[in-house]
Amino acid sequence: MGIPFPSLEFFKALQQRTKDEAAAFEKLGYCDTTFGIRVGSELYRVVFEIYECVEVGEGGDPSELDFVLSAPLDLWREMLEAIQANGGADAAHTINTLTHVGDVMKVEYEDPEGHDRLYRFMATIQAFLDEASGLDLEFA
Amino acid sequence: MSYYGSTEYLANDDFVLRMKDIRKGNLDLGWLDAGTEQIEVNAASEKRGLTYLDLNKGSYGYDELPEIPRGPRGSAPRGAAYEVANQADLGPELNLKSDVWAYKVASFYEEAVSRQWDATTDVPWQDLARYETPEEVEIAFAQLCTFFTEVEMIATDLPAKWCWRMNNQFHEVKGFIASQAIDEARHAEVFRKRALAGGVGLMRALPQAEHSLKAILDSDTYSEASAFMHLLAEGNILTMFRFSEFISPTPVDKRMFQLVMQDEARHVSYGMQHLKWILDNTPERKEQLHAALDEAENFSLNQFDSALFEAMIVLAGKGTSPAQIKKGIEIVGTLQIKQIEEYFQRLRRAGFEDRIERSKFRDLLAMISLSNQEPTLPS
Repeated sequence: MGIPFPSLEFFKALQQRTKDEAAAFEKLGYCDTTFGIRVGSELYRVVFEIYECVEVGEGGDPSELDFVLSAPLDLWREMLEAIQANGGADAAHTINTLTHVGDVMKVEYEDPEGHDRLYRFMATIQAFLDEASGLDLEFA
Repeated sequence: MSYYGSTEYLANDDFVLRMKDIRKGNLDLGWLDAGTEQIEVNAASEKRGLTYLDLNKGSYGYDELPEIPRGPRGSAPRGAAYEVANQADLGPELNLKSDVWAYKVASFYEEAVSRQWDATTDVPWQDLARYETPEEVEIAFAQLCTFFTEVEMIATDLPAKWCWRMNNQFHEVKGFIASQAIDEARHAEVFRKRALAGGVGLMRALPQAEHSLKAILDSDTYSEASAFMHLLAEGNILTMFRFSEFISPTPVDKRMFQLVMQDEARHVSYGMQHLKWILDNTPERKEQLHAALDEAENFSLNQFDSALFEAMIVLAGKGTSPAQIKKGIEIVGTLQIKQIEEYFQRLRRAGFEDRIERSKFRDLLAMISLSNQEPTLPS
């Protein structure tokens, strides 16, 4: 039985990976941000402090998040399948590539400083999502 | 040498006698009672370690540092005992807190130190040969890397130029811009390595870029230089790094741009918070910053007619056929809109909203018929 996506269980599994792979995340440096991942209409909250993901949750007020990565389920699925096939995002499915022009995956934010945190911590956020390569997933 | 001591020590009887006295064990020990403050310092987080934020207490802290710190003008560290009359005056030119300070600057410094990376080993150079790239695309990429190398060399010089001019009371800012200098040196390194590793080598140095960079270096004040470099130029470069990651021909290049964009975004955040600090604390400087940005924007416009601009079109269209160039022009158009929109957002966040009405970029958008386009990919 795989981990369902989207689900809180999926984000908890990624959170655990930041602890299991502590050395890799520590090498990337401090990462202090609270951001959202919206899959269709479902919002998940991800909290990073220092080197690791310290909290994940469902729902919340998007205006309290630094930024929200928002895309339909099909796109998240495509991205995660690429991560699983390549052991990490391939050239077409990095977070920056998907969000850059804004019509594939959207970056929602109210505060441009919150928005800039996506880029200040890009390598950590990409590494966090790339950890899905080691998970057995089941898509909704 | 240009600074000579006032005393020839070995010919000075007082000095020689005192030196001999000390060697006989007749110590003064007056220094044991410096009269400085003793505070309890603990790391707020053991995992994070002891940061500058943890030292922000009493006479050692920065919160209570006034706009005009009447302290030493030499290298006495903030909180140390000092004798103004006897200490060297290093002649710092930036002596007002608002000359240099930014909200969160201590956090930016700690983040910078923690997120350093290595251009030699953190980019998987060995994988570059695994990917086939069309020749004209690789040449265009080398042109882009040449431009970035030029930019980053001056971005290294700029913080170094101003760092020693800052009063040492502002050591958090000095530390941050010193970290910026090494970030930018590493960027110049990584783009040089990429241009050469791809087999094309460096391409043309761009006069348009160099005049703009000279204007940054020659800014009359640090705050003008910061508004030009951190906010406008690095904001533009951050968007270009994102664009470059987006159109990168290989995963190796994507990794390189993910790493450089982190540093650039941190510099932009500092610039925005410095501008906000100035406007909150010394709003009378607003017109000076307007005037500086009038000319900064003028120089920035010059980038829209250069080999760089054409190289970006070739990269975005992935070739030089008419259809590819057409597609490239559309994609680069969206990049230009994004650069300007994000610049305007940062101005608003810093409390400099009235800059937008005066910005030359509004006229640019109207002139090249981009003002009604949304930043989305062409179909």
